[in-house]
Amino acid sequence: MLGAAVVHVARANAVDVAVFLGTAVLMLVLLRRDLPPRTPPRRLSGRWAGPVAAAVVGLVVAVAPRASPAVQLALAAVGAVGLVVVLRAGEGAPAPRLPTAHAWVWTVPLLAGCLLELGDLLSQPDAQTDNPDHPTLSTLVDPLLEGRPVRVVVAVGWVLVGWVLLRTLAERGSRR
Amino acid sequence: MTTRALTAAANVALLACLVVLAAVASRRPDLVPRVSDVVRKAARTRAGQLLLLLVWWWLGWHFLLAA
Repeated sequence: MLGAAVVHVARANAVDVAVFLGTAVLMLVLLRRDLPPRTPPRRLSGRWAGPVAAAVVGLVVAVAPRASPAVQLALAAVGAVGLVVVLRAGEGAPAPRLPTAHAWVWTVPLLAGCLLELGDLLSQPDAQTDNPDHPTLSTLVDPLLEGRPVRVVVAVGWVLVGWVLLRTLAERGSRR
Repeated sequence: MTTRALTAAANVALLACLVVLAAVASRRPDLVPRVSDVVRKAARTRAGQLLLLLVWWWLGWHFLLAA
């Protein structure tokens, strides 16, 4: 977490630094004194909350320019709602349905991807200038996301994946 | 093959690895745990919950806004 924050400091991206350091601080605070668990707000736990949020974000991405304040606000609002849901959920989600002894298998390609990305970042002449010979993932993907229809599909998919994730994070069951 | 193409190919290969792992997990969850079970395991701690939320949110923020 702190390593990622250092990378964002080098990239001089204030939002990313604040988000990563803020999350690290929040982890430490909750480790010392957690909040009492509460059920998610009713409006957020309904069946249509995710699809409605995805439609709203998709609409904003469809009509507003890519880096406009409207898009930034929509994405930030989604994150803020997610944070509220997680903070209210409390610690101790239900146990996995099946054993996860081999969960490390998933970390191999993910870790390899992080190392590749870090190598590409370090090969740049400076933190803000891409290296065309060793492009980062965002440099490779960025031209695809220039098209508005693709961006809308990605935005809707992102919200729906987040909705499923939040429902899992807020699940109740066999607490420790 | 240029180094740019090699870098892109490496990213595609890693993505393919994840897809293959997901396919194996759906057929043999005893061999490779499903994503849902790994998420549930990580979500049992506060740090895990916040890390999962951060990773998901930041990916959207990073890629959907202009680089």
